[in-house]
This record gives sequence, structure tokens and C-alpha cells, in this order.
Amino acid sequence: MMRGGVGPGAMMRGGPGVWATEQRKITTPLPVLLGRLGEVIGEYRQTLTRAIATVAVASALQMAPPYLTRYVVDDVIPSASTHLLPLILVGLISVHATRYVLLYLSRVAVSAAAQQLVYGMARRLFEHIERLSLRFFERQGTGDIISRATSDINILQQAMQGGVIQAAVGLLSMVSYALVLLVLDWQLALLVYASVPLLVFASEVTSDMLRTRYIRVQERMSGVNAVLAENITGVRVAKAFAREGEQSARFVGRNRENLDANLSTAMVQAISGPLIQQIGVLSTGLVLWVGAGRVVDGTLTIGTLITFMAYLVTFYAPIEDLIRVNATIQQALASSERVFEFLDERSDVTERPGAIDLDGQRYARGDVRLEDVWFSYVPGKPVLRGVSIDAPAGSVVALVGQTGSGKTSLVNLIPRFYDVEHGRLTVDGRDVRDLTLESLRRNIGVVLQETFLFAVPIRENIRYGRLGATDAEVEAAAREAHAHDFIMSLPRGYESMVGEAGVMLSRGQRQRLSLARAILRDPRILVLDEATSDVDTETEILIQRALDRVMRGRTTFVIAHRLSTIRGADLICVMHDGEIVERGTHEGLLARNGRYRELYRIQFQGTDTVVGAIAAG
Amino acid sequence: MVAGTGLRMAPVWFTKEVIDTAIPRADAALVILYVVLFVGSAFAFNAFQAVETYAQQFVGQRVIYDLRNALYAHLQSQSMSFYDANQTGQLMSRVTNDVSQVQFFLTQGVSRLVSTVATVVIYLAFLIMLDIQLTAVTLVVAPGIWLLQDRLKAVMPLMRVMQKRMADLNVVIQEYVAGVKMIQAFGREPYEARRFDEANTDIRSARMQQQQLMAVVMPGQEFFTNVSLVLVLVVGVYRVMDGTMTLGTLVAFQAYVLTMWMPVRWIGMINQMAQQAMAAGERVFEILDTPLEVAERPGARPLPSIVGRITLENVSFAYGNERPLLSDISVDILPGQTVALVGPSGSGKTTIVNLIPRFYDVTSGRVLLDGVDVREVTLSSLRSQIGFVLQETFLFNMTIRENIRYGRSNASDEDVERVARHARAHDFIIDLPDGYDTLCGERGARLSGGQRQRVAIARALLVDPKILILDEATSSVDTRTDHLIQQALDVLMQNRTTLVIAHRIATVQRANQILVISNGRIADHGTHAELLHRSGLYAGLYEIQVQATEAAREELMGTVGAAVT
Repeated sequence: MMRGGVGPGAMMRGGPGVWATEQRKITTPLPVLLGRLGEVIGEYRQTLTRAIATVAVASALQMAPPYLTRYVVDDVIPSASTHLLPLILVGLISVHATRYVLLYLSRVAVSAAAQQLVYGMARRLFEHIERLSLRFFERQGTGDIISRATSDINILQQAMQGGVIQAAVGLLSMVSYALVLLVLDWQLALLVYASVPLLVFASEVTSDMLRTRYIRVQERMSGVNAVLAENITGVRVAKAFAREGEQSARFVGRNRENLDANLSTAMVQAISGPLIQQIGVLSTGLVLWVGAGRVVDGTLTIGTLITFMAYLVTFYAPIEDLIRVNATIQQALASSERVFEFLDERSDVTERPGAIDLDGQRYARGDVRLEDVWFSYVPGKPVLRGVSIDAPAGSVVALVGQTGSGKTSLVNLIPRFYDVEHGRLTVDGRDVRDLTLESLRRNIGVVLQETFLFAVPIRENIRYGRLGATDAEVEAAAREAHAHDFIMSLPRGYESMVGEAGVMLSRGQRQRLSLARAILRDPRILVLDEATSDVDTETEILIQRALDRVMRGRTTFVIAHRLSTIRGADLICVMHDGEIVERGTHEGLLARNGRYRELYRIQFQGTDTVVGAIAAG
Repeated sequence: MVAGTGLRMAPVWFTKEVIDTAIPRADAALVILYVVLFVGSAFAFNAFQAVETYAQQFVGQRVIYDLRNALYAHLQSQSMSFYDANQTGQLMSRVTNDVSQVQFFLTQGVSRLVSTVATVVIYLAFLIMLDIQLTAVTLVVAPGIWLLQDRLKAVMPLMRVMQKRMADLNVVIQEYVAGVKMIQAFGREPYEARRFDEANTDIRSARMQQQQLMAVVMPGQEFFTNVSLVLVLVVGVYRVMDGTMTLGTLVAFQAYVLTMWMPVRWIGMINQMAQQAMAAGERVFEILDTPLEVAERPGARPLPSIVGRITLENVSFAYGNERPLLSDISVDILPGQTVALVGPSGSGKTTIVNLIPRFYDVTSGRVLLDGVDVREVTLSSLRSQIGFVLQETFLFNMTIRENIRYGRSNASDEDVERVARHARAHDFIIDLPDGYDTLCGERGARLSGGQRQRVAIARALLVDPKILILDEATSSVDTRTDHLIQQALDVLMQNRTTLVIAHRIATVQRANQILVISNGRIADHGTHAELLHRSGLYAGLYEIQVQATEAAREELMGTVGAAVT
């Protein structure tokens, strides 16, 4: 993910968080969670309120039909007044037709609000992730990030789509029928009410159980995603070592964990639902027994009992739905908790309020100064220790040193991939933390060792450097980076798709594209992180020629292992263990007989045999 | 299921008995009996339902588990050209999002569908027995409900769009994470946000349209079922007045109709889930139906232990109908030889080495190991005899030990350490806080480039292959590390047939044979000395390297001279 971007400090970090499979308990209290979801709905809250009010009216209307039923049983049948029946028929059907219209309207409104919520959550999540610094990406696995932004958001949408309206309809109808029961016969109604606290208690217990389990299900899903991401990106190695079997076993293992988590949830769901229903059954039985007794006593009409029983069925009917919906809602709450967890992640690289534009008063010059800069990935284990460098505009600073000496960590601070821990880094005399990120990065061109190409045409990949560039400018940059010729030799030229599913480009070709990107950007400051590595000699020389031109007039920080690349630097800093141990020009450092000379000697030795061969040959 | 539905009906029956039998007789004991039966039968029904729900979930989840595994296994057996043509995010989305939609239907939809159908069938039978005329009245609304379902056919195309765009979201996020440094450096967050938003907006619009349909269908179903109840009431009352039906029967009939229609109100939801699952299922099967380009022949036998002779006979290779990347390559490499491939970047060097382990299959010609066509042997026996050190060192997010052991999972810890020493990796590994148990991070990101390479060399050493394929990429590290890696590679190349994509003159010079590749053809071949005289291309490549080296030497000599004087 971030080769070269992670110093040795990052190695020391332990494993958890990468797979995120350890079980977590519910961490956010329900009201807080609901409140936050409410915030996201925002402007749609009114729509939602209106929709629920509409549902309330529809539920109230639902009470009319049983009332009419009682009237029919108690009055119409005994009096044999057949002429009333057509009236009742028309009345009932118009009630239902009205309900249809109301329910339709509320559904449309709710789905608008629900889809807006889901859309808004996904958007907020991605935009938030974009603001996070590289530290977050070091810690969080690809699989987990993808899982939360897709799978969790989907679950949220499933619940919002069906759940909210079902829950509202169900609860409202229970409330309205509770009132009707009271009006019909308060004694029997009280018997029914006695069951309510039990219902509430039972559903609370199961809700918590379900939510914890759903969080685990989603975590296991992240685990599946993580292995999947890794196995797909590493498929070449797996094939090369004929290890598909083991890879498969890892996937099946994660998949199995996901299955187990799902089944454990299914178990709770299967047992809890009917158990809660049982409460309703007992209370209905009680009503039937007491009610029958009273009819026999003559203190209750048979019509009232029948009607009461009919209402009672409708009173308890939504429970079945509510239990189902509750499972969906708990699942959604579990997912939204995971989404909020990311939204709460604070970036350690943020723009100060009132941050200024680097190009504000005049265009940036590109003076870069590091003053006593300290930095660490893990607190207490600094990878940069009191580094100071003064790079006036237009100068070239080369960083050399062993793997892990802190070179990449140092250049990572210039575009604020990370912030310094102590000391400061200034551009044109201004602390980079006082500048807007956009204006700072606009003035910096980065060419990394690892060239990342997006799955778009070559032209767009180069244009990535400057969005407004014309096609002619793109081609000019490609020419300058010695990329034009190979691009034209591709069947579709600049329109060739590259990136993951694109044409296969060699590493040298990719690096030249990356260079063209940086050229197009025309930055004041250039950061070259091993830009000429891993290419054949001819390509290297092409790239080197291009670089020499590009570096002219720009402040350049260059990390390279080929000393030939950095011979012309104005300042060479030799780094060791996070400190600059030697600095000077190439000639000066060679004359000093120190670490630089030693590095140079080893480089020379590596090619000694060649020179010997030339001499002999 | 039938028993369950029978149980579901029992409580209503006992209610009817209380009203029709016990109350008129004023028999308190009978009331209690029926109430107990009512509670008991309801209890039994609920218990039955618990078992049934779990059983259905179990089956659904198992099916999904198997489907995911099958999908994954199929993905994994695809050749590299499949992976060249498909983005990681797209493939991931099929295994996760699309399967999840199928899962949603199988675990939530199917059980509801089954219980709905069972309920309707059994209740209908019962209603017919009770009163056939009133049953006919009940069913007057059935065509209406049916028509509503027809409207939901429009859901499937919408869901196809949605599932596709979900995959696009996956791609944007996956690319973002992979290219985060580039994106931040170029300040292209707004652009990525826009890509995300486009897909996200399409998803929202597809779902909105789907929900519009549902807003018509769901209350519509309820309307029709309610109308049915009204009709039953009105017609039933006439009958009670006629005396052709008891009041108790009417009450019970109405209760049955109510219970029968209850699950039918879900049918639109189930239908919609099914449409969505079908749209997602199509995408799953699209992968499952992709034929394998590099497949083992039926009856392929294992490749016996080889000595390591590699022969390419008139090999050509092209992707699909595109311009050939390799044309008419023929070469014979004897066991133990080192052959260097040189040539400009993009000339086809990597493509040649990819054909030997059958990452791709040749378009024409043959690749032979010890005289056996690679297409005639099992893939695992072929690949386990070939070792790789690739240019892009990929390590898995496992411990260093597990990564080294990757090629031979039964190797002992001593073996792992031994090869790590040979690969000059042991020293840095034991310097890490967790030593061999250090986690490597995603793609090995927690190790530096030089460290990753040495781990990869150790990994290849442990396999002890007869054939070694080496994509030389040693310049991404500092000179000291470079030196160590060079030593490690020298160890690795001993006694093996080695095919090396060379970038260093030193490597080339030591090779027994050099192939100069240009535009997918072998432009020339021979030893260093022969080629230097004969091949202009080779001499050119060589000259460039020599110049660089000479310049370095002169400068060192010069400064040393200056320092001495």
C-alpha cells in the first residue's frame, strides 16, 4: 500500500486492527447513535416527520373497520337491517382506499429520506476518509475500509428502506389499538397492558444481544474482505508458489468465521422472536378466560368479547413484524456504529482555521526549511531526530543513507503527509501547518518509487497532475518525460487504458508516466523518491535527462541510491538513524573520507568487475 | 411446514369453541380447557417456529458459504490474463456485495416465501371446508395482488445498475487506499470524491425508483387484502341473517382470512428481494461461467522431478486479438545454465518468463520442460519446481516466518532460518522486536524495499526449485543492501537453471547465454563477448551502462588523487 512510505518505526506496530476480527461490545449508547443518525438526515427530517404523521393517520383509520364490525354484530344482525350493509361496504372500502393513499405518500416520503440518509452517510464517510492522514491507512486494512463503506452502508439502507416505516406503522398501530381496547373494556385492557412491560424488557434484552452479534458479523465480513483483497492482489505470488490451496484455506477460514457469526445471530433471532410472541399468547389466553367468565356472568356482551378478541389479534399482530424489523434495525445500528467509528477518526493533519494560501500575495518561490525536525510513527521511537535543512528556492537537496535511515520519512513531511512532532518545516518562511493543504500540495510535485496508475486512459493519468491541462500540454509533458514515443507505439496511443485492468506497462514506462504527471503540474518544489530505481539503464538515462531539465529552477528533494543521480546536487545530506551525519557537496564529501565516501566506494565496487572486464576486454 | 401451519390455526379454533360452545353452555371448566388448549397450541406453534426459522437460516447461510467458496475457488483458478482484465475492487464486489444480496434473499426471503405459500394453501383448504362460497368472495381480490407483482419486474434492471455501481464504489475505495499517497500529493481528493459521488448518486437514484415501485405495491397489497375482509364481512352478515351461517363461524372465518392475508402483505417485499438477488446472482454466475484460460487438461499427470531443461519452440503470444507481444521465440536452455534476457523496457522480457509457469498460455508454439509440454502436466507440480523472485516483491500480511515458509509450508523453523541466513535476511530479521514473528503489513509495507527483497529470496530458496526465474530489480535499495542482495542471489542461482531479466552488466556477463529481446522477438543471442561485437542493440545498451560506471570510476579516482595530493 505505502511502500517506501513506512519507516522502520511502523514495523514495530503489532497486528490488531489489521484484521479487526476481535469481538467488540456495543460502545455507543442507543440514544446517541439515533441522534447522530438524525443529524445525517438533516433537511429530510421534516419530510420524515410528516411521513410518520401520515402513517399515524393511516393507523388511526385502521381502527374504524373493527368498530364497524362490532356495530354489525351487536346491532345490525339482531335488528336484521340489511339496508345498512351497502353503506357499511362503501364506508369500509373508502376507509381502506384513503389508507392506501396515505401509506403511498408516506412511503414515498420515507424512501426519499432514507435514500438521502444512506447516500449522505456514504458520501460523508468517503469524504472523511479522504481527509485522514497516512497514519490512518497504515493502521486500517484495505478490507476493513471497503467493508465499512460498502457492506455496512448497504445494511443501513436495507433497514431504512423497509425497517423505519414498518417499525413506525407497527408501533403506532399498537398504540392506537391499546386505546381502543381501553375504550371497549378497561378491565380486560388492563390485563393486556400488564404484558407490555414484559414485552419491552424482552425486546430490549434481545436487541442488545442481536446488536452485539451483528457487530461481530460485520467484523467477520471485514475479515473476508481483507483476505479477499490480499489474495487478489497477491494472486501472482500464490500461483508462482502453487499455493492456491493454502490461500483458499485462508479464505474459507474467514468465510467460515463469517458463517459462524451469522449462525450465532440466527440462533438468537430464532429463539427470541417466538419467545416474545409467547408473552402475547399468554395475555390473550388470560383475556379469553376472564372475558368468557364475564360473558357468562352477564357483565360483558358477547359482541364486546368478540370485538375485543379481534382487536387483540390486531394489537399483537404487528409484534411479529416488529421482531423482524427489530433484527434489521439492530443490524443497521451495528453497522452505523462502525461507520461512525470511522467518521470519528480525527485526522492528525488538518487545516488550521484561517489557513492561508501559499500563492496568496505572490506566487510561491519554493524556499524550504526544516528546523530541528523530529518525527516518529510510534511515540517514543523517533525516526527523525533534530533534522535541519535549508533549501533555498531552486536548489537541489539529495538525501542518501541506508534503508531505514529516515529519508522517506523526511520527504513525507514536505507535502504534509504527516506533521512534524517537534520543530517546524517552512515553505517561503511560513510554517506548512499555517497553509491551506491545497495550496501547499499544488506547489509540490511528487514522483514516487512505486508508480500508481489509475484505471483510466494514459491521457487522464498524466492529466492527473493538473486537471485543467489541454491535450497538447499533456503530450508536451509526455515528450519531456520521454514517454511520448512508447505511448504512441501502443495500439490506442494516449487513449490506452492503464492501471489494474489496463495494458501492461513495464516499470520504466510507468515511471515515465509518473514523471510526465509531475512535469505537467509544473510545481515549485519537486520530491523525487527513488524515481529512477528499478529500471533498465537506458530508461534510467532517459529519465535522468528528463529530470535534469525538470529540476531546473525548482527546489528539489531527491532520494536516490545511484550516486550518479545526485552528483550534481547543491547539498547532499547523508542520513543515519534519523540524523544528518554529513552534509556538503559531492566533491567536498568525497574528500572528507567519511560515510559518504564509504557508500560511494561500495557502489563503485559493485561495478568493479565490469570496469575490470572493460579494462581487460 | 404443514404441521406448523396447522398449529398456527389451532388457537383461533379454540377461540371459536369458547364463544360458540363454552359460553352458551356457561361451562367454566370448558372455558378453562379451551383456554389452556389455546395457550398450549400457540406455545407449540411458537416453538415450532423457532426451530423452523433457525433451520431455514442454517440452510440459507450454508448455501451462501458454499457459494462464496466456490466463487473464490473459481476466481483463483483463473489465469493471469483474467486478473489483467479485471480490477481488484470489481472482483471483490462480486464475492462480497453480490453474494450478500443473494444471501439476503436466501435467508430472509425464501423462508417468508415458503411460509407464505404454505399458509395460503393450507388456510385456503380450511376456508373451503368451512364455506366455499365465502372462500370465493375472499379470493375476488387475488388478481389485483397478482397484477401488483407484475409491476415489480421493473426492479431487476434497476438492481443490475445498482450492483454494477456498487462495484464501482468498491473500485474507487480500493484504488484510493492503494494510491493514497499519490492522491494526496496531487490534491486530487475532490476528483476521487466526484468519482465516488457519481456511483453513489446512481445507486441512490436506482433505489429511489425501486422504492417508488414499492410505495405503489406494498400499500396496494394491504388494500386488496383489506377489501377482501370487508367483502367477507358483508357477505357473511347476509348469511348470518339468512341463518345459513353461525356468528361464531363468521368470526372464525374472518380471523382465518386475516391470518391468511397477513404474510401475503410481505409478498411484494419478497418479490423485490428476489429481483435484487437475481440481478446480483447474474453477476455471480458471470464469474462462475467464465471459462478458465489456463486449465489443467483432463488427466493431466504430475510433472516428474525435472533436471531443468527449458525449451521454447516457435512461441508466440498475444492477448485476444491484439498485436502479438511475442513472435516466434525459440530457445533451448540446458540444465544449470543462466540465461539473461536484455532489451528495452516493454520489449517482451517479462512476457517470456510468464509463459514458463503457465501464468499465460502460448498462442502458438510450445513451452517444454525436460521435453514435456507444460500444458500436459498439473499446474501445482509444474509451479512447485519453479522458483520466482519477482520485480514487485509481494509479501502477505503474515509473519516473516510464514512468508518465507510460503513456498514449502512444512519446512522446519531451522530451515526457515537457514535460508534467511543464505538470503542475508537473518540479521535484520532478528533485529526486529518480534523477530521472525514480525507481521509484514499489507503487501509487506512494514518492511523496506531491500528487506522485502531478501525475504522474497529466502522464500524462493526454501522451495529449492530446479528452475529459477529472476526479475532483477536490485537498484531500489541502498548500495550496502544491494551488495547483500547480490550475494543472496548468487547463492540462489547456484545449481539451477536460471532465467534472469537482467539490468546489470555484471549479471549479464556471467550468463551462459544472453537473449537480446526487441519488439517481442529474439533480436540476437550469444555470449557477452560475441554480442558485443555483433549486436548493435546490445552494444548500445552496454555502452550506456559502461559510461555510467566509467564516469563514477574516474570521478572517484580523480577525487582520491586530489585527496592524496
